[in-house]
Amino acid sequence: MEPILEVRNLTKIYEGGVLANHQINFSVEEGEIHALVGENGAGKSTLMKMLYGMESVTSGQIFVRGKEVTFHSSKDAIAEGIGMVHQHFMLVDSLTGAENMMLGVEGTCFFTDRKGDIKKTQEIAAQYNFEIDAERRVRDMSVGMKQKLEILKILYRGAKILILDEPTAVLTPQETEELFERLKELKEKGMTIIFISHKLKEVKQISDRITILKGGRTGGTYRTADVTEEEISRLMVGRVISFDYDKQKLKPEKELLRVEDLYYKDKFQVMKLGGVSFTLRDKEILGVAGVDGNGQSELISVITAEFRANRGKVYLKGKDVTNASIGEIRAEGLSYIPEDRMLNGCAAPMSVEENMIVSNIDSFANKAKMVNFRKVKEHSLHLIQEFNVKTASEKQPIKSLSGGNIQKAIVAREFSAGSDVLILDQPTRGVDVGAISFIHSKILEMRGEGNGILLVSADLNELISLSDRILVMHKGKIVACLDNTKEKVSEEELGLYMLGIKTQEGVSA
Amino acid sequence: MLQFLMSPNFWASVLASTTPVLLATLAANIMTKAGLFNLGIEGTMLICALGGVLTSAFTGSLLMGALVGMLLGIFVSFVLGYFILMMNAPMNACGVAINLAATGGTVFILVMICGSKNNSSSLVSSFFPSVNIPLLQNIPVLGQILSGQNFVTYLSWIFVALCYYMLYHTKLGLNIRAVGENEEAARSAGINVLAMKFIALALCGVFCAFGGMYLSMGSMHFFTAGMVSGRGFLSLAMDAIAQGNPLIGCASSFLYGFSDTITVYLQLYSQLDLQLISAFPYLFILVVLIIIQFVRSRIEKKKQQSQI
Ligand SMILES: Nc1ncnc2c1ncn2[C@@H]1O[C@H](COP(=O)(O)OP(=O)(O)OP(=O)(O)O)[C@@H](O)[C@H]1O
Ligand SMILES: [Mg+2]
Repeated sequence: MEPILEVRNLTKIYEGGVLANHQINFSVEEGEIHALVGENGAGKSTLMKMLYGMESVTSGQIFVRGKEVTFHSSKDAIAEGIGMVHQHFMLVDSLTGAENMMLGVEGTCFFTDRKGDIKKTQEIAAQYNFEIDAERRVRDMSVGMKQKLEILKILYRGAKILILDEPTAVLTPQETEELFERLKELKEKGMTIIFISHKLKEVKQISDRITILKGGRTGGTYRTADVTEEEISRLMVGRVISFDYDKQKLKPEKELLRVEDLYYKDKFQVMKLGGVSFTLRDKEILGVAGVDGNGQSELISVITAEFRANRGKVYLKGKDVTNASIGEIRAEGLSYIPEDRMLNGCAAPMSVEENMIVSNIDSFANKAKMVNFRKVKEHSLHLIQEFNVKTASEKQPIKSLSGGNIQKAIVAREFSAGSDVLILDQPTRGVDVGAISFIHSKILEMRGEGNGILLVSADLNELISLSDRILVMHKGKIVACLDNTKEKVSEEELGLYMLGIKTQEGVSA
Repeated sequence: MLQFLMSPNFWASVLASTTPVLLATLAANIMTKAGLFNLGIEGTMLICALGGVLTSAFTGSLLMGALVGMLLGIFVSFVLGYFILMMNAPMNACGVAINLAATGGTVFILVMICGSKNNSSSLVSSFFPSVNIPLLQNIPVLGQILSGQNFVTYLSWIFVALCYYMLYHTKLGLNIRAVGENEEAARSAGINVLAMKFIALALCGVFCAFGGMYLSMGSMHFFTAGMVSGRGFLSLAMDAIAQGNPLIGCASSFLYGFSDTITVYLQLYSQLDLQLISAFPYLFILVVLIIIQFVRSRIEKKKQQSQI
């Protein structure tokens, strides 16, 4: 059978001379789910953007259903039935779901038809069994809903070949399961899906074939049934990576962060935090587990002064910081890796170097507040090397890095800020297996140096292998505090608490 | 002393002095919505003000003058667009360049053609007429205020309505807003980003043109050097309040018109110190802004408190 999509000798060199793709050959059969894996910066997103007409092709050919095509913009790709969900959301925040849905769709009418658009959006959502709120503005949507909206957007445009660039990176395990159900349905309807992920378990679960990219070159295509996770990992990074760490036994001595009886209601008047109290001490990693939307992100936002609590207190090293500003708590010694790296993790158009010093710029300034740029450069070059951030130079705009490398740069910045309390919200989102194990070892190193770490993660494995204690949140309350030092908590047990089936009496954390 | 606040004439002049700032603000609004920042609005207005006067003087036709003025506005905006969008030149530097070129260039041409460095009063140029609106003009007070304004003033109101409708109720407006807010997302949706920005620039040019021509062919009947005198810059401030929304932009321009007119009246009817009076419009706007901000934050606080 003729492949529905094929690329031959595709090469991409970015302005500035970055060779992102070199002589790539690969083909996708109609009706399959084809996974694309590779380390951060291997060139996966670049390859997909070329297939979607978002990036120009340096040399090589693309064939759709045997016919050679050249795309000048994504409009041409859409016309060929190709749709792409990008690694970072491509939605306009101030517009509603329906408006985003209709954006750029060629219509006969010059005027917008609000009611009709909402109706069409609801219809298509119902047709594919996706639940979204067409009238809600995107900025008020959860990441899960945004992701669904992105997929619906391309389905509405009549895509038959769906490119999904790390769609599950931002999803919770439950949402991922749901997405996979939908993807299987789409496959049955005859759609072809190209799926990128760093989570090999998912790749194994959903795909029919796997293509490996390594340093911008193809590392072969395999039938999923024929390879194990270990083999894929070895093909990708050249070694097998395990997540069993031997942690030193450490005894906490002092309290670093204390949260007392926090209440928070969001702008829709939904109670997101209903009396949360806990203490984070030095030399410990306190994990926070919970099904997404049970108050974890609100808790982090309140602690990091992005939201104000309706009631309750936050103490940082004994000082009341409930109403302190973000600058004040950072100066007090708190570092924070936010969940959404593009939204509040970095300044996208600014350079890697600038992004790496922005949170502790004072330490590079002299008494007259003049920044010593030689020191800045040394520092950022050191971080780039230590955290293995793949970038052409420290002066590159950070948005031109691959998603995982942006994450690594942010992690590097926060870990080098010299704070003793670290708040990590999904610190390994979108980074490859090699980098995950590196970041994990860094987290353990920080713990060894006497820092207190609050770790929120949707990845239960990550929580269990790193945390000393795990808090479980359910409906805005802490329902359990599990000791993870003597004996590892099991995923099943964690699951029972997360779903609210089990609760501990009189939790004290 | 403040009796003049009751007189219809006062309010009619408020509307008149609002007009040029309103048009400039509208130009700034559409730029903001398309994700651009045009520092050159001031210069563009100045160029069009002169272009309109000269063309109408030489052709003897108001229509030709208006048309050439408008095309000049679009042309200047496109020059800006060419440099910042196609050549990747810095936006603000190009805006400043347009202003400098306009300040010097208009005087140069004025000297060449009229032989005067100051104004074009030696030429007989056409101007936009005042319009009396039937029925409305017979209503007491309201008629005196709203009727009999300059043609361009009415045009500016129509522009505000059209612009608002275009931005929020048409596909073109939706696309422009999407491009301004998240260019990548718009590109990914298959929108031609460059085309949207040039359309926005064209509209900006038209609004600037009428703003400039109102000064030289409406409120005055000749061109004087530097006659825009900061209105273009002021519009950027008005736009900062409006955040691109033409209706709020209209309201804030009106605020400016009010305080500008009141200064003139105070100079005539009060014994206050002149210096103090000329600071009035700015003080007034400052106070109003503080009040708006205060009210806003009070509302926010109320909302928060009601949540507990
Ligand atoms: N606009 C750009 N300009 C210059 N270099 C770029 C640009 N976009 C990407 N690159 C470089 O191209 C290489 C491949 O990036 P790409 O985004 O394709 O990686 P990826 O495989 O998707 O990685 P990840 O898993 O981290 O998302 C990287 O080295 C990156 O720095
Ligand atoms: Mg990528």
